[in-house]
Amino acid sequence: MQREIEAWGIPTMSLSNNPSRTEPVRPPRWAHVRFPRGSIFGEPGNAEKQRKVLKDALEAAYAIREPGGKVELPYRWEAAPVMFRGRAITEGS
Amino acid sequence: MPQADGSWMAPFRQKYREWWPLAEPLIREHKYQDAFKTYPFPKFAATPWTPLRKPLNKAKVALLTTSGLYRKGADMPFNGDHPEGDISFRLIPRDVARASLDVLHPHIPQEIAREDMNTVFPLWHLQDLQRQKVVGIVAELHYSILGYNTRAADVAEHVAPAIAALMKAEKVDLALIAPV
Repeated sequence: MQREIEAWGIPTMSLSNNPSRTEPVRPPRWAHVRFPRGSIFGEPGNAEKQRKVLKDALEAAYAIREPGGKVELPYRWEAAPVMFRGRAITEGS
Repeated sequence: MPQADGSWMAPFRQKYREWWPLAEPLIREHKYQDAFKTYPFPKFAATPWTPLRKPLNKAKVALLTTSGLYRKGADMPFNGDHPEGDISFRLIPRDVARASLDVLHPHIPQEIAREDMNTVFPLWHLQDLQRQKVVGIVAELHYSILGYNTRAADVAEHVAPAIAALMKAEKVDLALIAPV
């Protein structure tokens, strides 16, 4: 999706919690966030942190100068693990 | 107008036709890891690139979420039951009432988004950033898809260009794509 939108002339930036799935797609610009599936902007209720993730991601779009550029966001999951299909997840999908 | 490189689509569709009969029974039994071990993930030779035209504090920014977000009562929910997923998309206007939103995405812990939509679709934080003059302007339209769909070539050929055309019509300067 991101590749196609970029190719049609709209600059794009994306977030990923799963680099091993994201890297082969070769997205134009992306940021790795260490949050679990279903909560890519951080814990529910943590507005300040979610806003930082959003702002960092948008600013990273401008810091990335080459196709495929990536940044690491420094945040970590600071809540109980997310339970999904019997697994406790604090990072990734 | 620049266009995506579609050379991967025909080989993908060929492999998909071989993959699907083996994968479908596994997916119907919710054995996703087994099913997607052999998924014909497309391979790309290059990375598309469109230069940013305006600084962030002048830019119009749109969000695209893959959380299966939709407006209750106004939109059809996504078809979460279909084994191939759902390639349709929903438009979310910037003045949407937060309480009118819901998600339908069986492959994520939906309760997180239902507790706080900003975890998957931070429209209200984006509006804050506009007020703080970090972002130029919040786009009138934002976009939602169901992140689970197996027909990658159909998404690339039909859905992405439709979304890009709407973004172009509104002169979006930067799209932030937020998978779940």
